[in-house]
Amino acid sequence: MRLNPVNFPRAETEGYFETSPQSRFYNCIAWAAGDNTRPWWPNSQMAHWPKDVPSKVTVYAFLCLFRSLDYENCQNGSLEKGFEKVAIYALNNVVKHAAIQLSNGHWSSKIGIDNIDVEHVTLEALEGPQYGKVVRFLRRPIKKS
Amino acid sequence: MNYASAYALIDSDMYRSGTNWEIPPRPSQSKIKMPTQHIQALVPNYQKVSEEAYEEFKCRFNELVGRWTEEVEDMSSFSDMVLHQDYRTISGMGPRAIRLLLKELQTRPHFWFDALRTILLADGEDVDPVDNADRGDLRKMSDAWIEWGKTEGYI
Repeated sequence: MRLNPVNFPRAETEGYFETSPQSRFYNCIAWAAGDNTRPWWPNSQMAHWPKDVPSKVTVYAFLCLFRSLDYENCQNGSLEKGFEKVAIYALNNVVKHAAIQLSNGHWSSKIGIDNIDVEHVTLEALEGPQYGKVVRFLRRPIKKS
Repeated sequence: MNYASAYALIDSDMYRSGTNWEIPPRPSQSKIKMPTQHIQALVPNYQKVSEEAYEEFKCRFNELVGRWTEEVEDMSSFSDMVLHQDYRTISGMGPRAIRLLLKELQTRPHFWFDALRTILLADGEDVDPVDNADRGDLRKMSDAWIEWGKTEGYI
């Protein structure tokens, strides 16, 4: 399945491939938080959101969310040994998406509420009218299993 | 009563009476004083008109559901999903849409729960059968609403 070029005009040129089939049981925030059983979104009776995190669709609220998951702010999306990273996309300070970094430096995203999971080479691949641009990065130490 | 005012009564009366409709009667909430048979007497081809009107309603509903489903596919934001024009239109379609939404949950579960709540609130009922622990779980939320629909006689 290919992504809609209207929503993701740079996806084809930046490079991506499908990693999981279409699902409407979780969304990008849940995926970045490690949960593929239910979508996460603030201020909605239809999605999960932790009680102790501000329930607003602002960048600040999402930073609080990921901080509650042991992430801390960082400067960029470059691969750092021993850390995993999350990138937050927003449009006019309204959060639209989040992607999580893989160990090869690529990024993993669940597209929308009803689409596929993809591995994308760059964060720019998903920038555009649907998700806006990456506005913040966070990182946390990779837990040793 | 002229034809225009009789026709104006048909819609709400048809929903509440359940006559020739799939929606069961809800006499306790009926605001209609004129019995269906009186409207039938006033309006020629009553049955035909009502069936055609409902088919048209279902057709419009299915068109909105299909387009919304397609257009929100890439959206992660629940805020954007429920603000989509088609979702808002469905939420404003009134109690006739409840059974159709419940059928959607039975066959192709999607996040219609806000629409159901909005319709019921507009009809004076504050209903939310979903446990807080199940928020976001599409299967459990759908099951809770389907169970509610069965209890209330919608399905």
